[in-house]
Amino acid sequence: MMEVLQWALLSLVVVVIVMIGLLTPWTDLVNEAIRTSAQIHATQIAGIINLLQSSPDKTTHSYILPNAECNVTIGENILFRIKNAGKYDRASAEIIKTNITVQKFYTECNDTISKGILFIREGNEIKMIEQVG
Amino acid sequence: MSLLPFQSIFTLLRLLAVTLLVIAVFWLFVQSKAELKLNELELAVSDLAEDLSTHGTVRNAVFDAEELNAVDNTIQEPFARHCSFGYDAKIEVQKKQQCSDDNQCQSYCNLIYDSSTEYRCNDNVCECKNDDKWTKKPSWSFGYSPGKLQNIQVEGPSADGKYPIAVFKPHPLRSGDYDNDAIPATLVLRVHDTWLTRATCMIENAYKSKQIQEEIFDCPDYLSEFYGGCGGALEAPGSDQVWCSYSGTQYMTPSGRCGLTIKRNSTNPDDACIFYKNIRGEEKYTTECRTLDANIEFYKAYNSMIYLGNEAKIIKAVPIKSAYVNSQQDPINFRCDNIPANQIAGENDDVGTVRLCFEDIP
Repeated sequence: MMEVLQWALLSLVVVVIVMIGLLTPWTDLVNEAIRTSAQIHATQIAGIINLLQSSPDKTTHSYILPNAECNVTIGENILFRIKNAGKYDRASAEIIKTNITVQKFYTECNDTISKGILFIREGNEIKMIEQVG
Repeated sequence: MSLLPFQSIFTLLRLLAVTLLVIAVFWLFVQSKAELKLNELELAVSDLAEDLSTHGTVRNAVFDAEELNAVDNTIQEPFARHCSFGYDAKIEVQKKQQCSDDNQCQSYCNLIYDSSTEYRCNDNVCECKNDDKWTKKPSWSFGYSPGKLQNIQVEGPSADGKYPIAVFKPHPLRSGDYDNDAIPATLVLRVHDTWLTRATCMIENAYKSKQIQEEIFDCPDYLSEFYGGCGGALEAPGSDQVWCSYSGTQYMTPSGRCGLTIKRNSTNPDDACIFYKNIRGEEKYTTECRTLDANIEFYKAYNSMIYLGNEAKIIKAVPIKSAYVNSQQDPINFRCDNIPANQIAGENDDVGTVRLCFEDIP
């Protein structure tokens, strides 16, 4: 009986070591999935605009775009496109309509240069400025 | 001699058990996968609550009773509007007003409603009369909530939130910066995701952005139930014709429910409702309605056919140039590829109407 338990324990130790070894690449895969998810970026950008609509004047927020082949269009809604494994993932998210005007905006991400968008609440308008570097 | 085979079998069994254990643990590990789930409805509830508390109020989270009276019992989504999801809100004062005689209730009821509101003190609690009903805890309700397609309840995902707010009204008997009363109240906000909210949003975005909007249409259960199957067509080219009950691309024997579509409510042009035609071709409205900017034109007769088919499709909202709005007499034009490219509005064109059409998922 003892021998069986020893076998089982040894096997479990081996399995746990292998699992720990796989955990890091697995976490990296999850992070990559989040980074390249168009839906997440579109929803986050829409959330920023929705919150700025109820924020005090001159409130700002920076959003860092992923280092990837992607673009974002801010109009009636948010449209985010990102290239992932050779295919474009496309998603949209809605801006809540209030008496605040949201400026139309378009920008492209860059594979090598870090880019971002600065959102500014200015009076009854939300403006966007492209940030590079 | 006799123990040897037994020991061999026992060793084999042990090996098998350990191998199975290793496989099982690996299988569990490999089977586990990361699922990114965005709780869009929950996000919409909190975003809408923030925006309602800012744009629907005189100060943060303090609503004006007069503005609430103006939208009470309507399907309007005032102050803030989420395009894809409809919301309904109920604002209810938190506490009953104590009293010992009727006169003590006068200012309370007048404050909440108006000076003509009837009031009384009943069981030491103030009661105000609103819409012919006596109420101890005044409340206001407004916004979109799923209606019925005849007797079939429209259903869809929803999320809600509860927020402390206050209701305010300038006191009629006093004036000055500090002479106003605010009554603690609760806002219950519920956000709904239904086919009508999605479709009205697509129409709105297509009209305003002059770009084709699209998403997967997976034939909601209530629509299938309404038809008796996931299929249907809409208006026919002549008032004496009704097309019904599509199956695939062929239309079949007319049923009692034909022409299910979205249309402006003729008595209230601010509302877009699901409507249908009965077997005699009579237009029937359902209670599934949502407000949609009255300036947005969509779905003129004869070009308002929907194809639901038997499996999921892509539904598109296509902005049509105003020059082509009245020139269409095209039959069965529910397929997107039937819409001539020169009729689709671009950035520099005036949009005349928006058409919904269907396309197979590639």
